[in-house]
Amino acid sequence: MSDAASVVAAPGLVRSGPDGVTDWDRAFTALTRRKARFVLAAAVFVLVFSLGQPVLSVFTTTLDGIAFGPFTWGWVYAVLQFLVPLVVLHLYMWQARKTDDASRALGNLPGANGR
Amino acid sequence: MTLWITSAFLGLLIVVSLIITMVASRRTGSTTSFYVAGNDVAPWQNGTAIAGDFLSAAALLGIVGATALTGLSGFYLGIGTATTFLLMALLVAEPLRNLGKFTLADMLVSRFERKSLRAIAALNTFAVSGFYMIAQFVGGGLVLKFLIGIDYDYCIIALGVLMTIYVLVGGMVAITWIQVFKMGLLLFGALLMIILTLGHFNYNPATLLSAVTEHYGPAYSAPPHPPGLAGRLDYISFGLGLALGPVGMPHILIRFLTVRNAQSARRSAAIAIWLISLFLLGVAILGLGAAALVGRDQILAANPAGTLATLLLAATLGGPVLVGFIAAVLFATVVAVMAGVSIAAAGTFSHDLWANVLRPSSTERERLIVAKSAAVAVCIFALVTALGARSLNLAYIGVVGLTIAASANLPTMIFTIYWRRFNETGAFVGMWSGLVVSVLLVLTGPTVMGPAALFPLANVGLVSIPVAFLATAVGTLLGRDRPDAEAVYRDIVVRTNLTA
Repeated sequence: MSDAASVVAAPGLVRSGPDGVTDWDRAFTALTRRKARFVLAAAVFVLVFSLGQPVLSVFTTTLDGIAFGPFTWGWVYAVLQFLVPLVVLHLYMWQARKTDDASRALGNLPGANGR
Repeated sequence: MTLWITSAFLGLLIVVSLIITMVASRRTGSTTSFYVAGNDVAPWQNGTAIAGDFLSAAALLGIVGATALTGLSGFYLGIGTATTFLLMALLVAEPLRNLGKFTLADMLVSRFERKSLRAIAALNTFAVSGFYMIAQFVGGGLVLKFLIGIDYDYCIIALGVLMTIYVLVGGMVAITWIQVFKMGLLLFGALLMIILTLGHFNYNPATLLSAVTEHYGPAYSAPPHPPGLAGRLDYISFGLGLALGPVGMPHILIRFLTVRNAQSARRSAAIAIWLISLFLLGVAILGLGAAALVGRDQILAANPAGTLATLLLAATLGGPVLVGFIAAVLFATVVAVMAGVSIAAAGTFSHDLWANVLRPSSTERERLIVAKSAAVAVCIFALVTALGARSLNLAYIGVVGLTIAASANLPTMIFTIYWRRFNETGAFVGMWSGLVVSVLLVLTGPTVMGPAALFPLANVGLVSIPVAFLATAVGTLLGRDRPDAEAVYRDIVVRTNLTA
């Protein structure tokens, strides 16, 4: 169970800790950090993967070689430029559905004082 | 014969588009419905419309032509697109839906609502939309002249008048439905051509590629190897600009405001990525098919840039009927894309400048009138510019638009959501520097100055995008936080993350 979801499920949710930070705050911060970490990591990964093609193309001849049949590694990379983003997209959709539940639950609680 | 069939398809398309516009006109009584279709667009419609906004005539004709002429190198022009739209889905779609109301500037100033900042954000939208629209207009006019054979001036006027009617009468509702309708036709046409092409090669892409590489040599399947350091860096810069440019394009981004909530925005982005990916993979087959079935010499003879490869392939595969159908769909594509850009620019004038800077006390009715007047003004501006700009370098105009979008908008968008310390000074410096640096580098680069260029790269994103990010960061570090900065950032984080 995610951090946020476990806090949501716990009884007596909104109570101030000794430092004045509520359980809601902690759960919310954990949720947003996890979302941001995933999103930024995925964005950097696909951008680097995408830019790998022009870098390999102009500085090496790696992509010129035959991979299989008539297809060079250049064609394989071209197809991967579509497949890899699609895989990352569905990982993101899967991850977002999980965090949606947690954030919806957090949004409905009295600790949602930022609104 | 072909001309008559094309005209018949065109007439039919225009009639259907006008019916859609008339039906939609019943739902354009408020600014919300005019700008963002009342936030009532379904994710599948929105995703299809986003894909339609990106798959312009230039993308279709240009990439098929380039693949036909140069093989893999030409196909590489379009392959970063899935990444681009994934970045949009990851970084922008949901926060924009949660923070924005009508325009991109809503999000850009969501942490620091200041008139001066909103005015710069609006200026950037005008710059991006203006350059992009002129490029589309001139390109569309030239393509139509080729396709239908009528004078360039008449093509431009026909495009401008139709676009104005769609925007003025039907607003965002009509433009979305027309874009969906057009995408349906475009996908049908492309699928039909792919099946007919593969039919000549046992329905096997490998057989098609073998046939082409046997005929044109192994270089056809090799990536580009531009000579010299400047040429290499320019190629990488082109890739970076293409990957990040559309992420800051206002006419694509405002589509995320037409859906009900962040989840719908995410789903629309996913649908757009699938459609664009499948379409572009199909484009490779069309490009190879054109090379194999039409021949490079014939494609080059028809147009040195390969622009007519799609039409020549259609003629080979399905005769005048298929040519007429594809030509009419291309016309619809040009008008629909331009209408989208026009409504983004009109919304920026009415919502960002009029309602938020010049006359905050204006009524809803007044704002709607200003929005519609702005739409007409934008259309007239683009029409007049396009009439006088037929000899301008299209690549240069289009690249300026994309580069400004990536340099001027992207750093502020990202830092607004993800950087706690980001402040007003950073946003101010970032938006100005992105705009100024990208325009300056293009003006002093080889596309404008030729061999006497002061800056060696034609594609300036490799420098302008990092400079804009750096300037935004330095501006932030030098600037001072507002006393309530922490609370404002917390509010942004809550609004961005909490699901309603």
